[in-house]
Amino acid sequence: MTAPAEIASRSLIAVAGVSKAYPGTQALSNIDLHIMPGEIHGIAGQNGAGKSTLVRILSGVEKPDSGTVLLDGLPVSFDNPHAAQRARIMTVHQELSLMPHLSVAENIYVGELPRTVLGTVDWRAVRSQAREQLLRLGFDLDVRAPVGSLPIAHRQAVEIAKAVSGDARVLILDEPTATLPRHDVRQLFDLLNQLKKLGIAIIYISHHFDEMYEICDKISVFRDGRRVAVHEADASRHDLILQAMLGGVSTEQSAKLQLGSSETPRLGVGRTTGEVALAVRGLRDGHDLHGIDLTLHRGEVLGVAGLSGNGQSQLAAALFGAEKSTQQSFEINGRKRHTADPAESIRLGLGLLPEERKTQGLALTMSVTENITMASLAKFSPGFFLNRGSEHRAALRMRDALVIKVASVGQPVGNLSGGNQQKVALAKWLVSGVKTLIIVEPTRGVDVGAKLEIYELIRQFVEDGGSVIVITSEIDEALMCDRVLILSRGRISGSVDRAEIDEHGEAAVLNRFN
Amino acid sequence: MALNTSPVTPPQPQTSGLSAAVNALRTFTNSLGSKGYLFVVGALVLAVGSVLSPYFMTSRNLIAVLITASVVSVLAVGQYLVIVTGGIDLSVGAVAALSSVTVGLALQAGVSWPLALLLALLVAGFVGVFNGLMIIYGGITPFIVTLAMMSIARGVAYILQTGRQVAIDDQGFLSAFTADLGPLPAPVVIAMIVMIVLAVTMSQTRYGRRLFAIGGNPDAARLSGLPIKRDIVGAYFCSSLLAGLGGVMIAAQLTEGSAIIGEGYELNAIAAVVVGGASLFGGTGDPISAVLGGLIIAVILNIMDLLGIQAQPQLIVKGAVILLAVLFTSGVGNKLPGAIRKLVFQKRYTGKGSDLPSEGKEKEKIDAAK
Ligand SMILES: Nc1ncnc2c1ncn2[C@@H]1O[C@H](COP(=O)(O)OP(=O)(O)OP(=O)(O)O)[C@@H](O)[C@H]1O
Ligand SMILES: [Mg+2]
Repeated sequence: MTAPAEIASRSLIAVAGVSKAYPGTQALSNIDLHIMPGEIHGIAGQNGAGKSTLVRILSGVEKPDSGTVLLDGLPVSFDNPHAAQRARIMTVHQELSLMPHLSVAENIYVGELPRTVLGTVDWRAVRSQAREQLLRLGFDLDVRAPVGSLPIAHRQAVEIAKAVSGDARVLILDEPTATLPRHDVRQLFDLLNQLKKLGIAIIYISHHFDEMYEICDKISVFRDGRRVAVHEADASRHDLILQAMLGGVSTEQSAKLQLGSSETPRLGVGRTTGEVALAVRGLRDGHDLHGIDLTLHRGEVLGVAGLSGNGQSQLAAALFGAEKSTQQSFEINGRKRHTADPAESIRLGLGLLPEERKTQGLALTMSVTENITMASLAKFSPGFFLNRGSEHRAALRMRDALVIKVASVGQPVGNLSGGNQQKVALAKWLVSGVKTLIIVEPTRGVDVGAKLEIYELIRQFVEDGGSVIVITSEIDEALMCDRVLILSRGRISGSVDRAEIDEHGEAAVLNRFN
Repeated sequence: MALNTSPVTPPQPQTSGLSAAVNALRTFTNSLGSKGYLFVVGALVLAVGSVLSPYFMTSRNLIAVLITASVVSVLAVGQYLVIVTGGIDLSVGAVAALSSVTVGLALQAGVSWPLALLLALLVAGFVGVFNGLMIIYGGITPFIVTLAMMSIARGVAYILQTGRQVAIDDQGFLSAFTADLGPLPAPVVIAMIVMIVLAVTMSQTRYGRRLFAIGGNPDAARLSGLPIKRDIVGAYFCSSLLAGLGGVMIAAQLTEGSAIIGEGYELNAIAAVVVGGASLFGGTGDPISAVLGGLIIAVILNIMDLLGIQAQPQLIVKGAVILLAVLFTSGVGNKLPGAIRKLVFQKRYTGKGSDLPSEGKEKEKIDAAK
């Protein structure tokens, strides 16, 4: 065994005794961590454990209260993100940081656009190099398109391409696959393995353990701002890692958290009635949806599966009335929908948890409480004045039910960790009293424990007479539903019922993909 | 790579008289709550005023300041409602002029003063609704809509007044808006009522909450089913209505309505709001802070008047105050005090030697179970 001191000095990047506090939260306490050249180091931890805080410190976004960052064994201090990039530490943040109005190519090369001999920007080179970087990740995109027009998965790809386009020595990826469809993860891993061979040190953060065991060499486990363990990245250590991460798990819970557990939870309660919760015929939006027929029964959990980019978010928006659409008929909870207007949908008892929670689901400057009650103000305060007491109680209830980690429910949502923000966006609809809910990617970005809580809450919602449409690119999640529709290029290309799923497993759904 | 075994000396924050003073000041302002810095700035401005001019602290002058401040504040509170949604209303000065002319003409025509007041407010409110509708349904940015309206409203005021100004001699009207109500002049009482009503609206009613939500994230607000179109029109309506009220208050003080009234008042109102700490991106601030901001602006204007500074340099100062306020309430400003402190007190650790932490601390727990 080599002496720790020697390890630290041979490491490419390391932190020693790093602490960071925010008002009401000790986000990191005394973290020691080091990563060798060519090592892929995973970080696991519950939502709010401090993973992204460490990323922000390593990438120069924030400074530690105490402790040191060491590059090549020498202490460094970054005053800003640019300084970290100059030291060739490239970061893909959990929150995407692209400029929506600039093109894909410009975003990838922003700040260091290749020049011609005349000193003007060499646009041909910019475009062809940007295309190349994206192709390495398996994405064939129009690099002239503005980033804001891309679906979220493609934006994630651009963000990764941007980080690897530079001459990175250290690459930090904070939940890069949360918004990336599973089949694109393969390409990313191939690329990471290439970079690994070049001696790049990689930090990889994810809530998907199967990915971590595949790609990482070691996994550090964070809990409440401390690094509580480090293990070889191997599925055989899964129990130990879970124990460390959750701080002790019951055997029952651990059985459910097993990788590829045979005991897949069911979202539905299998008590579908003949009553219709939502029915639409011939839904079109003029570009992405080409005549969709869909019926959701009361008490049903209907999955809409498909590779992302087949119209998922457009379908959700059109069903909720957030975008204009045409249709032959549209009925919500037995009443006709007259106009495409979210307010009308909510009145009829329909809610939507959109894919882009941060831009569409939350007001980041407002408190957790204010966000949770935003869709049901009149319910909490029927009179002229706000009833803060009842709002507060509802927020506390949701905080406990969804295990939202906050210093206080009066804290601005923008200060929460990524996964906890997702939970607040979901909580908003759970308190709203709507009977029918469209949920896009229900467990994106939440930790394994919270995932089970959310499944349980959905089941509870259905148990209480609700109906849910789950739009998901996670095949596992589709398989938990009572019935699955396959969405392909803006059309429903197939329907799989529970009996088929029980008989054939995921093949029943996967075979319908094309 | 060379090992370094020298003992650790974690960088100690050095304490000096200045940093202690900075810290003490910070604790003090924090103890005053979110408006703490406003009181400090206010006190500072008052101190400067009393040093620069012997007349400043006289009760006569202070009452004059309060009266100016009350008009600025009424406009500022309205402006705040628009700014909290992420918008801006540049037309308030012109609307004040239009409403002063309207009230003057109505009084000259022999209309009873409450009715004249109502008429002026109606005209002002109509302008606001028009602004809001253009922004929502015309899809034009608030800046452009209200800039255009600034020109239109003043133009209409000029056409309506025909002569140089519209003299007002209705005693009922004049005393209602200028007499003392108890210990306080009427304008001050009006401003306080407006402030309290709007402060309660913003913090205690659903409408206030919805305006915050719109400013915080209009998409999220819309997707939460909030009637954002109606609410935004409502905000511009209120802003114009209060500008109209401000115009009536000025008309009473000057005993005339005039198309040149309120020139540059939009800037005063915006300055008051940003000095009060609201972000121009929306979603933050509160009406009381806007009023405190209005007071500070009024005092600064008054000091310049006392010093005999011409109107032109005053414009420069007003602009500078806005820039400073925005700088300090935006991200840059938040970082500024820290950055200055660091420059002064902290030595950065970029050296290679003594700052190395103790490597022995790094304890590998790899497979501790093994
Ligand atoms: N600006 C801030 N102000 C106050 N608290 C903050 C701020 N940023 C982060 N925190 C808190 O610090 C803690 C750690 O947050 P961090 O983002 O590092 O979590 P995380 O491990 O990345 O979680 P997730 O898996 O949800 O992304 C959280 O409790 C969070 O609420
Ligand atoms: Mg995070």
